[in-house]
Amino acid sequence: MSLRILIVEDSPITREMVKGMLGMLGHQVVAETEALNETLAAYQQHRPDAVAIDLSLPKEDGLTILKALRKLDARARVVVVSGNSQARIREEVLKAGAVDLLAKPIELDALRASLERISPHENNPPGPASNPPAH
Amino acid sequence: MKITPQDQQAILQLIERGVEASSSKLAAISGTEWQIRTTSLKACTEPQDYEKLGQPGQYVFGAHCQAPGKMCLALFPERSAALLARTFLAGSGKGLDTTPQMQELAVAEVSNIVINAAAGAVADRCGMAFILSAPKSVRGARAEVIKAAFGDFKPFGKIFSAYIHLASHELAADCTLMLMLDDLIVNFILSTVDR
Repeated sequence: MSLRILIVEDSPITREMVKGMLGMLGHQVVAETEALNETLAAYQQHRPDAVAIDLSLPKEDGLTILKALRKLDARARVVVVSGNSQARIREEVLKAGAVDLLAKPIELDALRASLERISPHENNPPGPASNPPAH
Repeated sequence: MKITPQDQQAILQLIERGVEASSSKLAAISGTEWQIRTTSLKACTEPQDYEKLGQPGQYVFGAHCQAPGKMCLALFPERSAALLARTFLAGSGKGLDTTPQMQELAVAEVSNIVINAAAGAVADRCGMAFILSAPKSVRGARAEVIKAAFGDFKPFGKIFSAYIHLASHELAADCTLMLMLDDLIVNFILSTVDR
């Protein structure tokens, strides 16, 4: 099933790679961002089925963005894609509500397996925990 | 802070285990085996201390990432950088071109992966957790690149630096990893490792 995906990644190379893999898996990239505010705006505008976030970003880190997205919409489905797969960071990422943490270099099969755990949502308004985050 | 030879050995062993994770990542990217060739650890406060390591004038590509108390740098000589960029981009499945700009970006991303693998393995062994900054791409003469990285690092006290050389015989390529740790981090690491 095709998913609409928002990519949060600062490296143009990784963005292209992820886009290429998502295309091969039949998914569609609806927006690309690399900072908190633009990510929240893009999420509200496009209502993607899933968000792929890097952890190491130039402004806010990916964990901060993940938490803000989940505060904006408790049903936001997020896959973290990072070179950082420290055990305690992984725990924190999953505790914050991410579906998975995929270690770079990204493997197509691993990406496919993570996204298979996500179903397209009905583009309903955000869930109960939908207050905009304070910043 | 002064560390004993036993402390130094314990930190080096820990970092070597971390670098094994980096060599696995390089193997995954390049499709060839990578071995750790040399490691050394020293306390220093000046980048000049490193000018004797490797070839100071050699042109290198790479990136550095940091978090409070730690700075990691990965460097690839020009030829190795080109080879790795090509294999990394070939794995994209999208046929990305290898323009010089793409190559530089690819090497920065490979550096990011290699650095995070080493730092992550050390963090796991010590029960630490941190997110390194986004990689800052670097290129230039080895000594100049190291000097610039030192300039970006704001340590508490002295800097302890591990210098590791990795090589792939099959690919005829090599990589230098530098992990710079400040007094606070070294103290923390020593409180967690068996000696």
